[in-house]
Amino acid sequence: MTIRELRILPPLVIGRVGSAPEPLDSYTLEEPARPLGFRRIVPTDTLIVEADGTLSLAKPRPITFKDEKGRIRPVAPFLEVHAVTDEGQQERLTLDWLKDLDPNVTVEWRVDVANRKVERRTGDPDDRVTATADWFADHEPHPLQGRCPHFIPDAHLDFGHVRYIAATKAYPDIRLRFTPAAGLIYGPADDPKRQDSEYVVPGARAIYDANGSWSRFHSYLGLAEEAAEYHGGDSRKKEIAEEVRGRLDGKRPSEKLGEEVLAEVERLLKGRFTEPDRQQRSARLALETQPPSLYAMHPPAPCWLNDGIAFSRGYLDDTCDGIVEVRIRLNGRTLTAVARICSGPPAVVPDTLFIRTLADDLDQAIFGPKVPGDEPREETRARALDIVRRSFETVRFLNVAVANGEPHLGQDALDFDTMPAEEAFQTLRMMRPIMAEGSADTLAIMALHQEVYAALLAGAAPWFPRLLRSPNDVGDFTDHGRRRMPAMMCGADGGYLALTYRQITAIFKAASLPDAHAGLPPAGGAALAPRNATARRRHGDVHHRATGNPFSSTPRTSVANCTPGLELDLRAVWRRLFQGIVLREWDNLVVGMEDEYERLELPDLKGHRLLAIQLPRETDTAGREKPDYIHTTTQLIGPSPEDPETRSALLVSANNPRGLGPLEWSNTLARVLHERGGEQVTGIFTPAKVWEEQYAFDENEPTDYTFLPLTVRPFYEDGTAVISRTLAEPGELTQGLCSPWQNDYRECSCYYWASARPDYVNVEPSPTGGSTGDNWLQKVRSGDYVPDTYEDARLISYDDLFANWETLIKFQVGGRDVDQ
Amino acid sequence: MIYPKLAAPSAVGDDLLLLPRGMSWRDHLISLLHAAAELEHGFMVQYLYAAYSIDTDVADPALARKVLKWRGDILTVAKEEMGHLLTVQNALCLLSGPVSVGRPNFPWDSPFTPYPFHLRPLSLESLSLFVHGERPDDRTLGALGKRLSGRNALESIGIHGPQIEKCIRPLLSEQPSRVRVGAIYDRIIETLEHPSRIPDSAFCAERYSSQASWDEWGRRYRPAPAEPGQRTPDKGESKSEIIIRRMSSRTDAIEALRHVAGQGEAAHIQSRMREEKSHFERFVEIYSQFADTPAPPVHFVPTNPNTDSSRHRDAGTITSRVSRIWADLFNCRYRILLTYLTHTFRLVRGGAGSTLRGDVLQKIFGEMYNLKAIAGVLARSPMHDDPDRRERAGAPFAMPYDLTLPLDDIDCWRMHRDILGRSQRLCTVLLAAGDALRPEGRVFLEALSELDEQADRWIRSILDGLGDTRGRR
Repeated sequence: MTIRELRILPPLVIGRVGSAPEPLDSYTLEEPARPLGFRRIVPTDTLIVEADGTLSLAKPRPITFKDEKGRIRPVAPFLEVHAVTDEGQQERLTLDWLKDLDPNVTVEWRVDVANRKVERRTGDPDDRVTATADWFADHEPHPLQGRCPHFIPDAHLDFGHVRYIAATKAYPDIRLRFTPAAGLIYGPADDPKRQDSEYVVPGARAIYDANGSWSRFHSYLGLAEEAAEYHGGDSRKKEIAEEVRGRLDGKRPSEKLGEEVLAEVERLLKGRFTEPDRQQRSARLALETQPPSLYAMHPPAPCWLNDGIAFSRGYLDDTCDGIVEVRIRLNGRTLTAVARICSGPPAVVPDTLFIRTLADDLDQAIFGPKVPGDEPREETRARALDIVRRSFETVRFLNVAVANGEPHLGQDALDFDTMPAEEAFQTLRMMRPIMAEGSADTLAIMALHQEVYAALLAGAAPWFPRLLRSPNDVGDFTDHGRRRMPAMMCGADGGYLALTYRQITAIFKAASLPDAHAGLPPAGGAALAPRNATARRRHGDVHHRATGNPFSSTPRTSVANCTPGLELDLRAVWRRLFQGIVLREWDNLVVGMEDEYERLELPDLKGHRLLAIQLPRETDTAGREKPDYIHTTTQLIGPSPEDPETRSALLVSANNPRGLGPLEWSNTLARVLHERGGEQVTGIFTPAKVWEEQYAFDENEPTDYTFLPLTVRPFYEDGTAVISRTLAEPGELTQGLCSPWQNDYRECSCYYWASARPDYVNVEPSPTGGSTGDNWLQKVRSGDYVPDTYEDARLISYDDLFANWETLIKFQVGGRDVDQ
Repeated sequence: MIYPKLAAPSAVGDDLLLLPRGMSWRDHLISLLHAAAELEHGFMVQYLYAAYSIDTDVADPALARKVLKWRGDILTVAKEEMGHLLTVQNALCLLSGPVSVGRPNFPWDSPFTPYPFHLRPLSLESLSLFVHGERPDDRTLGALGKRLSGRNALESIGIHGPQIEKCIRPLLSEQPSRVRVGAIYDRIIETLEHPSRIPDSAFCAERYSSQASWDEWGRRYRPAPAEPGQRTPDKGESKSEIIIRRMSSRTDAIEALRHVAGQGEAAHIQSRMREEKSHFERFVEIYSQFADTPAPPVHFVPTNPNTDSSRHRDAGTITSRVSRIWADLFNCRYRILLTYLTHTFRLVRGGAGSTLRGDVLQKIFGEMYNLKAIAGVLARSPMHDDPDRRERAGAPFAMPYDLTLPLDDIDCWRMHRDILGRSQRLCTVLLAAGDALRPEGRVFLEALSELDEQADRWIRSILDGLGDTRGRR
């Protein structure tokens, strides 16, 4: 058999940090013993890497997530090399096979990873932390030492290591193991701004100068400008205003405000800004992440409860993402393949899957937003069932009453970080619960979802597609819109979470199927079209679990509502989908132009906005052509005060005069990618730069815009299931995440990823109705839920997490804390 | 008309002569509301049964779409009847009367019913009765004709009118001239309108917080709000609106009941509802399509299925051993639903038991899904253990012997637990049925058993909270 091509599988694998020397054993996740129970964590054969780089086998044994010293066992995944033969078969590649073909064969690896979190915030390429294990063929561990121009001399950050596993008779496959780092925090040495309560970065991990750009970083320019003009009664703003005015009056500035900010404020207020200044300032503001200020900051935190002041502590974590390459020289030919790796936090609820995972988005990029015509209906129904199962798995860990925006034991609901509160802040409207107050409790709502699941198991077709939120309607804040499903959670665009189109269409399709047809042959026969055969293979590759890998290394265990995400920020992958331009990951602002833009005959669009994509005109049934636009923004609407039930109003504000919100790229571009991947579409841009405000395309007046041809890049590399390297370089898939990720565990509350970063645990029925339980971040498990105000000392604080996250974080199995 | 139009009240005392013996006007009004609740409940169940009888497993995609739409439309009407039932309960709450979710068993005929009520599979016969039952009076029908000029429904009634007449005539027992369903609402509204009959003091606004609300029950079944700048909602995706009105005064009650009556017959349509089809129109449309469909796919389910004992067996009696247990399970879950429903009106919104109210409410929705699932299983299960017979069983919707709640709250919860226990035992028996159980039936029962264990833990926790110490495990 001739080897035509190589693949590294899985094409994207997730490592998870932990300081235990022994990685997590391999396990799979299987259907529960009872239909509504927790999925079963089933140990499988674990591959142990011996000192000489060979493998030995550990028979399946009970999974422990922490070792006896309380250290978390890292997820250190293997990557296998597979060969595509001339017959088109894909088979595991063994050294014996290679030696049979060519006794002088060489196998080499190269790994490039990066952490670009700081660069994403500062915009300075010298903040990029990169590590390379250059081509190697030995079986020694190759450390991934992250280096950065802005580190102090000789400092480095440890991203873990990679190792080419030595093939043996028992384990002849060609494979590499990625062992991520320990989950440590790095930062500045002897920071004079450090307050007593703050975690002390040990000297060995002091990589930054305390006066360096990251240690002095802040993102509150807008606030300072506002505060300078402030004459109200708010003591905090008053203090800032006085400081700003003091600066303007030539008095000695307070240390609370950065010199740089004050200088800008001064110039601004004195009207000395030149146009280039303004452009520079706009470009700097454009670097803001969504949500903003996703980094550890000096107290008080979080910034949105403290006037937006966010002075960086200069922390950075040891997670990364990047590319693994294999190069095999065989009979004079060189075969290569690539895969992606990333490292993230542990999967703390390993027996539960979130309602929308990275796998859902990757599948949508493979199959498109619709149900493929040749998909067997039992597969469609199974997908619909799986979505409903994941919905109750998600609800399990969500304090639904609190997430609904209800007071808790008399405490004002506005004090808690919830989606209704977030919506109120975003739209500058009064906060309202989503569902009728008192009607939503975790156990009751979970049971309701389980009843739905049970009915589907009995053969009923889904009857609820119309309850699902359309990805275009995430800005509908009327009760009609907010009560769509999934409810109470945040999507990648900051609006209410929507499923992928592919998930939604699966439920719609399942709803149109006859009741209980299990066992019937697929409609139209089982033969797959060649185009779909490629898609199927890609799908198989994406979901491939290499031998020895824990299930938590798969994309099914990674959240996809990237606000910003936990393992990956998939929003980043869409920024370069159109040749020539670079978009911001969270909205339609063009933040950069690629080198080749002039060759593509594109003007410099930096600062402009991509408002819509025009696909080739469609012809309706009457033979008339009609334009086909895909918009990148949505109108924010809310209930009209004059009649909240029957009328709606635009949600405009001083900051958002058009009442618009961005739409997440993954859903917005799903059709473009599926129908026009590799082809040309028309991009509709603002004719001028619009840095700071959202803007929309008006289909009825399609004249005042710039129409430009754009070529759509493929999402996956040719024939493989590897996310195109052109779309994301090493470090870019994690650059939008919190720095450090521990910050995210503190700040991203119940309404993000309840079943990945849980909210409500140890839940039991309450004697007065509803439920009792603990906040996952509660220090003492009392059964009395402590709602998150960010101030309550009963909850684990930022610094607790920075100092001691491995001990404090409790894994959840069966909905209960487990020590190990 | 069963009721002659009431004369306006003249002198105090004369008016009482218009009443059934021994009744006050309030008594009379409450009895009328109870009758209206029975009617709404009866309609709802008949529609559910007809919808569940539709066989959606058809090969022809166009036909599959058509039958799915029939089912969806009929279920929508059933949901709207549920809204009517709840609104009537709210009126009873307002009058401090006992809520009533009971009804006679099928078959059921009375002077209040527009036709003898039976559980019938979808057929031209059952559709004729549905059209007849929801038919507005002639004046309204004329007005509807003008409004709907050119629309299918009106054409259909024109084309199919004689057929419908012919179909229903033998089914109306010996009363060819039956009441319209709206007649009872006319009478209720007439009674409510006169303070001399129902004084202001009869209305108990404090009960407002016990009443069912759209927010709790509506589940988004109404049109989305109008676009910004528009005044009238676009009917858009929502073809229906579940009306659940709360009321604190006479004016509210009259308005709410008018609205309810209008939804069936389109007699008192509100401005925002102009685009919504009445039940009458929807049934006419389905009738028309059904009549034009050769061999419409309907499960071979009986009329009035039941699990009556051997002494009272009739053509609707399910005799298959396993199917009978499924039918018993259906009836048990139906009882759970109705008992929870009755209980919600005792649990005050916003009060000490408000979380319990929410919990119970979600349980009711859960039971609706259970009934849907079991009805589907029954429609695919044999009615008799005779392989040569092709009849399928159907959902019996048998009323429990009683729906009265015990006096004390603690006893209510004990009762819930007792009924749940019966369901759990039925599940156990069914799960022991071996190969007689289809795979989807087995997995559903396993899931239901888990849900019942959860519910049992929930009830035990509540009983603990109430200080219950009896019968503890």
